Amino acid sequence: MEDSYILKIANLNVDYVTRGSVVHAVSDVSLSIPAGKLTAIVGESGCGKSTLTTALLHYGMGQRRGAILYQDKDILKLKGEELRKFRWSEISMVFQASQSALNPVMRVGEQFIETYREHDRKVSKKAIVEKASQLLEYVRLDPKRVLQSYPHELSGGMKQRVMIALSLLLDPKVVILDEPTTALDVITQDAIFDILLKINREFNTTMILVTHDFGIVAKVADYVAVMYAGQVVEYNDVRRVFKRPQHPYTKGLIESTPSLLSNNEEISEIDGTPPDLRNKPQGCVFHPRCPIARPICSREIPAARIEGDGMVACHAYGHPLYAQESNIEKVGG
Amino acid sequence: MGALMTIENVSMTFQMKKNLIGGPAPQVHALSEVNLEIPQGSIVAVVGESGCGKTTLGKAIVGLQKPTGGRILYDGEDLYNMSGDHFAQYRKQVQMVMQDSFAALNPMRSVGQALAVPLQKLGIVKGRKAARDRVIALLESVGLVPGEQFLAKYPHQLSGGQRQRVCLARAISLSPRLIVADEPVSGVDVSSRLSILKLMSSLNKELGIAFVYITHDLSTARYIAGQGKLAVMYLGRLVEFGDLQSVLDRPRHPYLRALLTAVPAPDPDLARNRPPLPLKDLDLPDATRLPSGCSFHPRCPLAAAGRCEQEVPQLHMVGASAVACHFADMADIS
Repeated sequence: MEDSYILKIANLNVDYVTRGSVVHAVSDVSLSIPAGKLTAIVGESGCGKSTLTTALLHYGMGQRRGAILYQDKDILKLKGEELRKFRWSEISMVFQASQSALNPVMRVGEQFIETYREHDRKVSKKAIVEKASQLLEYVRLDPKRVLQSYPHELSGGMKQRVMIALSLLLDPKVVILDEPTTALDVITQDAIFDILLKINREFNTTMILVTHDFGIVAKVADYVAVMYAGQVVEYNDVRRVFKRPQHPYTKGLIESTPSLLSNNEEISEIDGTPPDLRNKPQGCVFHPRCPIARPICSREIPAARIEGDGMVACHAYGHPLYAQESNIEKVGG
Repeated sequence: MGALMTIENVSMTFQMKKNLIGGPAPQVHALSEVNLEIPQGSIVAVVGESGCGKTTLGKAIVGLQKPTGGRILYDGEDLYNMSGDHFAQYRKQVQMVMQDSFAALNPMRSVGQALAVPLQKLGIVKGRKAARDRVIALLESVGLVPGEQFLAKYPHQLSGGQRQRVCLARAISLSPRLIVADEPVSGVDVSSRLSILKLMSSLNKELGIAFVYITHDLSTARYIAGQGKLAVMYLGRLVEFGDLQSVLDRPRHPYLRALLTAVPAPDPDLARNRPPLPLKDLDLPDATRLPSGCSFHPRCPLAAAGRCEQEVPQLHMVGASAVACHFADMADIS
């Protein structure tokens, strides 16, 4: 079983130090990413999901502690040339705003060539264009037109597909997708996920999808990690997460999503707002909003409880005091 | 219930700059001959992809952008041909809530100031004490309780959901009859979206304020306009309109059918076993070079040569809803 994980995140912490305060964007996250599968990281804005994924490329700002193991190497220890070669050829990323990820004054074809040459100077232009054309066809674009185009000549959906092709250029084993369809309409979104699923299956590429949309998760994910206030609160197989969500936050998120298929008579929102990451609540980070919180929840941080492939961090599952306090509350009224 | 507003043949064409080579300046047809009626006290959800003209329609309704063709009638009076007095009344009675609540509020003004200024300026309340009391009552009516606590806060100190509540409080402060809400929840945390939708629903029910809810998200449209109307737009045209429930129960326009198929169901088994998209082409055409005839024909699985690329389909009643498709009846059978 051990070998089936391509990435192992162990006790990762990422802090952003600002004037006079520290933002704990990611707190003590341990998560293993199964090879060849699509793992979704779900949460609201500010939950630390983008901070977590940029750490996988050892990229951007923030003080990082812990380890991210990739083929027995700790990504957080890579430096200089080694790190530069590692990025994109082992793990690549599709960003949320393809608009700003592509160079506006460079033709798409040149961007493919530049990216390849950064990693391998000896390859001929012709070989790169050939590879780029194959990839563009794969994402259902016309390579003749697209390679000659500047980004502004392409629609949002086309640019995002260019980014996907570009992310696959160096045959990475892992592709991180950071909200790849937020700015796109549902039809384009649907088509892009069909393409991504095909890539995932045919190239056996491991994918990590960051999103806040449970509809997309239902469509594409194999595994789901739910993040709240910088922590992973639940992890499981996608069907279990939907059929039997364990953490009250996961339940709340699923229940608060309006559906096209029902009259939505029973849906209700989660009370309150996410906490300030500079000043997190004591105990369980979710307890101020939790409908089933007990006194223990404001005192102790819940430990991750592992069951089979799944994990949940909630006192309601197994903490002896939680059950006791529940009984007291019932007796008391 | 009579019509609060009637949109008649409204078109909006934007002239772009000439290109460097000196070719003809392209035009963008953001709206083409849109006809729509907003009943008093109703909720009309306007859905479509980005670039379909839904925001332009919203701006035309609130009086921010004069259409280049057609009329907008408010209580039977042409909005862009009103006397100054009537237009001033109109401005009070028709309010807008924008997508980006952070940009919609002045960052240098506290919530209390932002809400009190229009009340005092328009003479709705007299004196600072009365204004303060009124603002507190408004804040509490949008769920910001206790209202006093929010008076001195600045927009950056609030969450997205709270800011959108402030925007709604500002919109209702002038007792409007209609609020145009343009993607009001897309900037709000997922866990708080539902509460904003619920708030708009209750403002509609309790105060009788009509809403035009502009969105790309059919699920939230269904949630808020369950008893109201649904208008589906495609490339500047209204392609289907009717009671939301009946439109969704029996979608007629092939574009709406594709749209409904593409919405991911929040259930892994359903989401993975759904039919492929009934579309010939994934990509939207260029807005400056719209296809001839029915603008949906290059992507439409039902398109028939000789008709769809030549004739613009007019909105006509099919069953319970109005549809702009030559083969709306056939779509019903397939």
